[in-house]
Amino acid sequence: MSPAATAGIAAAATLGPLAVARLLKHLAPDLHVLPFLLRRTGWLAATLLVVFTLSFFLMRAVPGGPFDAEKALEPAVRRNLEARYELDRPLGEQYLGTLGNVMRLDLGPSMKLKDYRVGEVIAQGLPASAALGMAALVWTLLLGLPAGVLAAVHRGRRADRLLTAAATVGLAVPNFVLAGLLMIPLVFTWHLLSPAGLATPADLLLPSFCLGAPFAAQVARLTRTGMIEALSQEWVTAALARGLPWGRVLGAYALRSALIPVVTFLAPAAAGILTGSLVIERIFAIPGLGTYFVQSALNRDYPLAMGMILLFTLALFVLNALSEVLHRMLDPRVELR
Amino acid sequence: MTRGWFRSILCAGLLLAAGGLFSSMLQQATLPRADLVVGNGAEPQSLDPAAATALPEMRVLSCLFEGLVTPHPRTLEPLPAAAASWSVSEDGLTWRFNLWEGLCWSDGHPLTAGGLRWSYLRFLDPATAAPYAYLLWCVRGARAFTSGRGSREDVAIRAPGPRTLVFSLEHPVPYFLDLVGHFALLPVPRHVVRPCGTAWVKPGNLVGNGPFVLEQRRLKDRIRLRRNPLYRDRESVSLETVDMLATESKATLLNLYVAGKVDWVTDVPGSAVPALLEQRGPGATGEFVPTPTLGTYYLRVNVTRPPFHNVKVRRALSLAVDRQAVVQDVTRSGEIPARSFVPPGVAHYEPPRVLEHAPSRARELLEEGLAEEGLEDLPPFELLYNTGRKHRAIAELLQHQWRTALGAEVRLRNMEWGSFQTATRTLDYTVARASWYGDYNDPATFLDMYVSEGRNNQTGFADPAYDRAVRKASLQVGDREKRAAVLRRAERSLLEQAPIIPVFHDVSRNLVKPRVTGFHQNVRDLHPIRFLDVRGPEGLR
Repeated sequence: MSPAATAGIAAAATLGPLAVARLLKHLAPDLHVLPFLLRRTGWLAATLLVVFTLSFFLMRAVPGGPFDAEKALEPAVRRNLEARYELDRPLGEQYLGTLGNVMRLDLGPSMKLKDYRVGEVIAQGLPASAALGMAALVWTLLLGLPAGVLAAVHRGRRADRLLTAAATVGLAVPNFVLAGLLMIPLVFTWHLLSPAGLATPADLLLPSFCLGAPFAAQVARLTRTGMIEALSQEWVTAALARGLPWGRVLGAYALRSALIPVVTFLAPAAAGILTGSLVIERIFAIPGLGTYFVQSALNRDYPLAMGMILLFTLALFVLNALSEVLHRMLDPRVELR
Repeated sequence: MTRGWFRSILCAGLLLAAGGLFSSMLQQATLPRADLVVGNGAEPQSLDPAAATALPEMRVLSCLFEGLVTPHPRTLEPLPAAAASWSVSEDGLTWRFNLWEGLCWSDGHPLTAGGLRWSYLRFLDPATAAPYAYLLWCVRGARAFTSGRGSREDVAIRAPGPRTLVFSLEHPVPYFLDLVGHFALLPVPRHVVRPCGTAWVKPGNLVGNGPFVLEQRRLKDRIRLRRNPLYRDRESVSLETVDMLATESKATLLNLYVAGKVDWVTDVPGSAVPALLEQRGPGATGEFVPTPTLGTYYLRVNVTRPPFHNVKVRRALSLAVDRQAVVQDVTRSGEIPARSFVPPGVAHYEPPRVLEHAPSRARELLEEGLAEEGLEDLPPFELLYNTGRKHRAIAELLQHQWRTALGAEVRLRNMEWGSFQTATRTLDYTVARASWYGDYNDPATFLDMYVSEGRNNQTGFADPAYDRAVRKASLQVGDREKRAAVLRRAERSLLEQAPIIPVFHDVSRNLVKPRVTGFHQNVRDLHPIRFLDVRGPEGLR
């Protein structure tokens, strides 16, 4: 790992909890921060345990196994392989053994990517997936929010109809079709971008746009609805009557309440975006985690599949918590429990 | 004030984290283009030859390691590799290999016959659990050792001198040189494997004796190889760097090829085949030349299920298949309609031409067969296939052909890979699709499968006469003609009893830029990178 990456992780690890505690105190001065965080951590642990247990037994209940191939293994070799991965033990013993390892943050060796442990697979893939996901979220907000606000302000006029139509198309066109359509001019006609791979940050432009576009369309629709509702409120009229500038009312007050449904939608969606997209990563050959979610399940690569499931659960939990905090920031009446 | 302090810390932390993330993501990625870039397909499962099973691994491993012999890139005849020469005893049971003088690993450590012996024993060791261990079970004591019944010392591989290696076999094996040239048997360095354990395959640890060394590996991205300055025959290697891309999507690889970022793509999307073939026209550059391989696409029939335990019913199914239509309307890459199970083009063997499309004869046989079973009509049955666009299209066509020719009611059943494997292995199917690619260039890799105890048999088929014939052929090591004749009779009887219904012989679908030289098409789809070179600039044509 490069020094910059180490520094980044160290900074995030030390500043993260500090910032979270500080932010919570700032948001809700009457909140007991430590009990709140402990309660949330407890819930997270319980969720992970339930998800782990269900996934463990469901995976093994499905027919087939990690060593199935067109060329069947000699029984002797199969026995040896099963012994190596401890699949020859009773199921209960396997469960407890795996649970113990996972608690020690050891997800075990991948059964298909045999040179790697699951932790290494995630460490290599997550940065690429997360970078792609963050870039996609930037597109989502950069396109979705202004479009929604603009459409709401020009409600019923040509700009609104145009933007609403664009959002509908954005939602209806699957991202792989969008990728193909954009690739023809940008890659093959004008040679502006590379067709695939991740060698420079510019290589993220096209895949992140294709990944973010449908979410941007959704955000635009939600923002538009929220803004229209907010702008029809009496307090907007009152604020304007008292001489507050239009821009300030729009940006600081109306947008704030219009953002609440956007946050509700985007936080869980971001868990999926940040942990890897199957289709976009495949089309653009981004070395992320996206394909593992499906491949590991199809290959019966139990440890890798488990790693992916737990990672996604963790991301979803953290982002949902974040969404609550954001709610509180947008609307001080919301209580954090 | 506190708010400002808090915000600046938060921003600084976020920036640092994002910066670290991006730099760790890109640190390995900014590499200059390699001399040769290969679209190698799926991520190699392992760089340990003993754990490898598929072509993507094979292409990389044959760059990193070198066995006793290596196939000639065009004729596939065994060429001297680590072994300078070899000889076999009169009875075909003792093979003696003489190594070159001064062989060494890429870290300078000497490579001796003793080290090779250790590597072969590790390959057979039950603790290694090598999927291909059976390839060496013709060596005395090897099978017992892998199965945990024998000891390491009883395996008849000896190193009487530092440059001499001797194998004693249980029975003569005419294709033994093909076996020792197999990628799973490539030698691994004892002095690295022992101290490093499973981490010996990591970049930085991995040491080989092949034409290239491992410079970098990034999951789902690429393996970067660099010429090995200590390689035995280093003057013959002209490429300095090679990139093996791990890109699963064939469409993406084709895009990269068209954009000039890849020089050789090992497979193309089925939908692109007609366009690629059309482009070949006059003035063909030879970029896309689908070539028959040692692969057969076929159907298994569960012979334990009535009415398919009746040979006439099975024969009728086989005769009703219009193989020409399958390759013309579905696969469309120049596949060869099967007339035998063993593909034509295999070494030392001319397969019998048995299979044909004869719908009226099929109907007659079906009626006779059903009458013998006391049935009026053929009961509805299922055709099982695993998920895949090509498999589904073929299954639909077969369903149609059987309905038209025999009035059969065929239901299609799709399963994903793992469940499909379990279903065929436990004979929980009626008719199922299958394919087989030869492990070595000999008919035995196909015909050995259908002996009664064959673990890949998976049809319930058991014919003592067939078993005897296959066994007899393996003893005819001295007389190739006689051996071929025995095998031909056996294959004919197998096809007439129809526990399997071959459909077509597969082709390789390499797409190679004209700037790549030394690339030869062959039935094994083997293109050792050591013999390749490039001329002219990369990029767009």
